[in-house]
Amino acid sequence: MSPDPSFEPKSELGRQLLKAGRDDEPPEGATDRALELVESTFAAEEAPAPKRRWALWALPAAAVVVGVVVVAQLRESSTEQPVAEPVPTSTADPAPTATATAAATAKVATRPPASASASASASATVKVATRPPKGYRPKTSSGGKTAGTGSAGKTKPPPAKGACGCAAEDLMCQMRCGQK
Amino acid sequence: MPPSELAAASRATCLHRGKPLARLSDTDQKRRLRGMVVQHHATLWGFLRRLGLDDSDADDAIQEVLLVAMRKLDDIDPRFERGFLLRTAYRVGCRLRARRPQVGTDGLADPVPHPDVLVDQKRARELLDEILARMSEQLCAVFVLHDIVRLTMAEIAEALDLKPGTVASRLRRARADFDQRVARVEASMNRREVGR
Repeated sequence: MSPDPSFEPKSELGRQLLKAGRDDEPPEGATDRALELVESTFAAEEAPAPKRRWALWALPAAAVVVGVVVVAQLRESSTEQPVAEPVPTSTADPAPTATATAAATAKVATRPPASASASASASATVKVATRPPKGYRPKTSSGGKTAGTGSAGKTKPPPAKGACGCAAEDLMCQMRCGQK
Repeated sequence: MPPSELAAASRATCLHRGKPLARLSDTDQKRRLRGMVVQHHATLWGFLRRLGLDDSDADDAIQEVLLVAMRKLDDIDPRFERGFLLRTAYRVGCRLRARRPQVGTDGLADPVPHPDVLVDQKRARELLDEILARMSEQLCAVFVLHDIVRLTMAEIAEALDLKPGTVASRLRRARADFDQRVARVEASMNRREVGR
């Protein structure tokens, strides 16, 4: 059995209280304040809209720029010329010019060793093309071997060079520079 | 109906498995929310006040309810807007009511006003609020919605997400509780009257 829909309290006081509750109205301006809230909230939501539209094309554009830069750097690193060997400590030999050194090294790097006997000495030079990135320090304390040199745990001193800047053991130097 | 209004109405009511097919534009959303405020503000305010919130708390609660409604506007079925608002208001109101200083569930601790004073509607509402504040939230909500806000039991069941039988049961208990508390207040008034 469902409760009586038209309920009235038993006592006069109860009826009076219920009537007071039913007649209660919101204070002046309460509805207007709620409407203002709606207006202000929508205004706040509409304000940053241009920024969001701006981000729609700015973010992909930034991504494209970053991608182009990364690809360019990768290409540059893949076609990078091998770096010349460190300048020998000897002060007797004049320092080779940068262009001569670069040309000599490029040739050495792209040519195979002239003979089997020279391969051991040339391997150090050929390795220049695949040298690890800057900052790399080969282990010198113990354990590790330097590939191709056969010396365990020691860095090889730079090869002696002639006046033309080529390595002293370079068999092609005479033909190339005409100084031997 | 002009084609533009027809399109707006179809967007507002076009539901597919409870989810809207198209999001309302900002203009439509604002118009709909304004309509909800104009239509249901007084109901919400009366419900929250009788739940035991004072004027400023009721204002805050209504703002919170409107913000929730704004976020979920696309999910609210236009046929059950009032139910959604009342359900949200009930949750917000219960939370705010729990923050207020606890009152005893028994008789009124404060001195009961003289019957002559009750002529004043304001004092009558204060006494009503004191009585309702001592009822449990569940009974109070059903009692207020049915006997003060004047919703039907089906509407209360939908608004508070209850079964119709639960609403009927709570309403019976709430009315009995209310009558008992009013009788106690009356007895206290009569004792004071005799003592004079």
